[in-house]
Amino acid sequence: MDTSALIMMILSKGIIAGFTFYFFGKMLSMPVKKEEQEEEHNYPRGG
Amino acid sequence: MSSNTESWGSRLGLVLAMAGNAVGFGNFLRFPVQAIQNGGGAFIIPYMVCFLLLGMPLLFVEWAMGRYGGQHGDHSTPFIFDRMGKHFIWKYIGVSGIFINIGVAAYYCYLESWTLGYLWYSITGAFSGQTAEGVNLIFTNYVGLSGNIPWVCWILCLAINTWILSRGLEDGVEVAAKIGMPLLILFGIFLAIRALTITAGSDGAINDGLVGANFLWKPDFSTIWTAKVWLAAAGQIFFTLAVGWGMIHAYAAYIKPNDDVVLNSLSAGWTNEFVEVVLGASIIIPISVGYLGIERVVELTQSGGLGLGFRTMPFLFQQWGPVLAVLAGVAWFGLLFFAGITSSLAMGTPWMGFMRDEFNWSRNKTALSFAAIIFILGLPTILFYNEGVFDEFDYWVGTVGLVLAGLLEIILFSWVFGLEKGWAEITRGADIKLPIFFKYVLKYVTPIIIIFVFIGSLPDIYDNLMHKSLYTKIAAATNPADIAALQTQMSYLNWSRLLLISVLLGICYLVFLANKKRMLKAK
Repeated sequence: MDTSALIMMILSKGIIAGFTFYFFGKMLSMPVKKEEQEEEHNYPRGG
Repeated sequence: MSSNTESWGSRLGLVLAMAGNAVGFGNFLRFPVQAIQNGGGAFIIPYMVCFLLLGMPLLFVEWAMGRYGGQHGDHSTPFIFDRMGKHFIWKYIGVSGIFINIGVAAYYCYLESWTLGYLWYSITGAFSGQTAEGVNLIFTNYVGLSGNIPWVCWILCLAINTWILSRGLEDGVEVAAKIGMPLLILFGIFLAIRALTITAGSDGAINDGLVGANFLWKPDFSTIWTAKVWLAAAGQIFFTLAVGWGMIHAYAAYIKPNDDVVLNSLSAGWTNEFVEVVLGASIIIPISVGYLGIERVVELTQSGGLGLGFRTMPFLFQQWGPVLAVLAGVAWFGLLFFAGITSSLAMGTPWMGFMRDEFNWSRNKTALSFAAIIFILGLPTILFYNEGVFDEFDYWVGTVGLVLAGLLEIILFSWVFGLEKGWAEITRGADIKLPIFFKYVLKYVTPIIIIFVFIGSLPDIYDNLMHKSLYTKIAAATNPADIAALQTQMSYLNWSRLLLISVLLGICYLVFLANKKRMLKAK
């Protein structure tokens, strides 16, 4: 592959994959919102 | 009181459904072709700038508008727009969020059914031993409705969509996204690895797969300064992120009032980019160039990516031996099927939300009514595919409609509803801090880009409206039979426009009835 094509491909894919994993990972690692925890506390499953 | 009390089961399910809504055929068939026609690797620069200044802001806006409507019990754009605009006209502008989805779903479900048909052909070995012309003929016969397979697959496709929609968000759409998206990515990775490791001289390949990658990514920086390339990039962003359609509003209307929209929309948006640029750009072009060479691929892509995906790929897979050919066929058409169904389900959601909110229809009844509309509206695109009705629907609803709706919604959000309130809506409950830079982008940059795109498209819109290319063909034709055929084609296109206008007016009438009902209730 030409150097310019290789650089464009690696940079584009690398940056996009990096942002995707960063945002997706952050989204998955976020704790459940407080109001949802309260709801579960007030109305426990099976209760 | 609306019976519509649905909600998403999990955050992951919501983000995957939103990403699935965006990921469609265009990620695999349209983006690579756009890239090679608009500067190769250099195309990624205007494309990413448009993603940052047009795509991401519209994602924030649509998620926030949807959540805002949902907390007031509105789950589709007519009454979300009405609530934000506080002028009667906005509810009718919001009709676009139902109309575009119905108009696109009419032909999109047919396209989606091709993947089922081709999945069946791949498994049963219909392509085995066929020449390139043989595989091409299979496609010609398929769209010519030869045999039962096209009809069976279309009905099956409508039935699957109806069944999933009737199960609701959590048990239907969310489950489909949780199964479909990981499988799609898995199939994509398999095909991308196979494509990039094609070796010249092996299995009949004339080039390495990397020659195709080089062809796609080699940058021609001189193109960056041409308006055409920026228009193509903006158009691709509109198309790929599914902004302007009304689907994102409809999905976001079911999230809780303080749930995040910033991180969720970024996760879904970037997942779509990953599928498009990392996977989509690594499949059809490297494989096609590997076996057909650059000149032939340039020729084939003149008519878009669909031909390459259905007329050419099944033949190229046959070069990999019987077992791998079946596996690749299943992976390719399975990937396209999952990309299609996660989008068509999203197209059904605005109608589901509207009819359930306004007319208290049950889920089953609404899902069946959606299937019935798609059946009736889809028939002309199937029966008169070769006369261009399919493309006519795609142009007016799936291209012009999106840009116009996107322009009106950003004006509504940033200028009519007001950016101060709008910014507060976007950032409420956000899990990450959104740079203030986007506030100014939302107010000035995004509307200007969309106006630029729209004005840039006006000559093309005018030519299409006036059937310029058909008149040119008629003027050039000498055979009376050819002239008659072209005139018949023109009348089919006019009838299809009339049909679309009727559907638009029909939805406007439903919104009028719903509004009357609301006013009576308020008294």
